[in-house]
Amino acid sequence: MSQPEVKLLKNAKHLKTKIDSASRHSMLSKIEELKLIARVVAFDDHRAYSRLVDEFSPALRRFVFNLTLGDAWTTDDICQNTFIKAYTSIRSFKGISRFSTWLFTIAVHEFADFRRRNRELSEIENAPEQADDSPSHSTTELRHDIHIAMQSLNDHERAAILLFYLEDRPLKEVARITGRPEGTVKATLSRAKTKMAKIIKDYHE
Amino acid sequence: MKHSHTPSDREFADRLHRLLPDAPPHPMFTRMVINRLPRRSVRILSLLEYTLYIIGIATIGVIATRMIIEMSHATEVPINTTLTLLTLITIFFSLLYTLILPFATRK
Repeated sequence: MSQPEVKLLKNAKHLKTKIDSASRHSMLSKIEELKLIARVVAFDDHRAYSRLVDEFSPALRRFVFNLTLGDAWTTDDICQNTFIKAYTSIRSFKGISRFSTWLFTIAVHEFADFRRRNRELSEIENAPEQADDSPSHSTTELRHDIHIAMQSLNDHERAAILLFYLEDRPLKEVARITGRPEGTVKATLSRAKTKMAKIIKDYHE
Repeated sequence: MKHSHTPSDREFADRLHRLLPDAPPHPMFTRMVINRLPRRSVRILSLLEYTLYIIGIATIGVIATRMIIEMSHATEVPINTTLTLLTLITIFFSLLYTLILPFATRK
C-alpha cells in the first residue's frame, strides 16, 4: 500500500471513530436540550431531567470510569452526585456552553473532592473491571498497556487525555472543564502523551 | 489546535477509543439519580405559603384602604371603626414584615 493510501485509510478510520464517539455523545440538539432544561427550571420536571440523565450518563460514566481507573462503585457515586448537583444548581446554568460541558466540569470537581477525601486510601489503584466481550490476546495486552499507562498519569493528566482524545473535546473546552489555562492543558497533554508513549510499547510518537 | 489533528494524535485517539473500556451497564442509574433528587413538595408548599401571604396582605390592604376612604368622608367616626382599622393596619404590616424578612436577611 502506498503512503497516501495508508494516510487515507488512517483518516477514514479516525473519522469512523469520531462518528461512533459523536453517536455515543449527545443526540439531543441544543434547542431540545434547552427545552428540557427550561422544563426542569420552571416546573422541577423530573421526567425531563431523567431524559437529560439518560442522554448524558453514558459518556459521563465512561469518562469517570476511566478517570477512576475502572472503579465502578466510585464511578456511579461520582456520577450520581454530579447529576444531583447539576439539578440543584440548574438555575445557575447560563446556557453559554453545552449542558454536557457543564456536567463534565461538575464531575471533574466531584472527582477532585473524592480524591481529597480519600487521599490516604489506595483502592482506586485496584485492577479495573473488564467490560468487554472475550478480546483477543493482543487486544488484552494492549488494554493492559493502556491501563498501566493511564495509571502512570496524575489526575490532571488523565482528565486532559480522556477529555481531549476519548471525548474529542476541543482544547478550549478541556481548559474550561478542568479549570486550567489552555497553555497549561496543552503542556499537560504533551507531557501525558510522552509518559504514556514510554509505556505503550508499539505506540510511536 | 482544536481537535486531535496530527497523525500521531489521531492514531492515539483511535487507540484510546478502541481500548478504553465503557463503564459497566447500570440499568437503574437514572432511576437512582431521580430518587435522590430533592423533593418537589417542599417547593410547592413554600409557593403555597407565599401565595397565601400575598392574598392576605392584598385583602387586608384593600379593606383598610376602603375604610380610610369611608372614614374621610364621614362626619363622625365611631371608636370601634378606628380600633378595627388600627388592628387591620397592624396585621397588614406584620404580614408584610413576615413575608419580606427572609428575603432581607438572606445572604
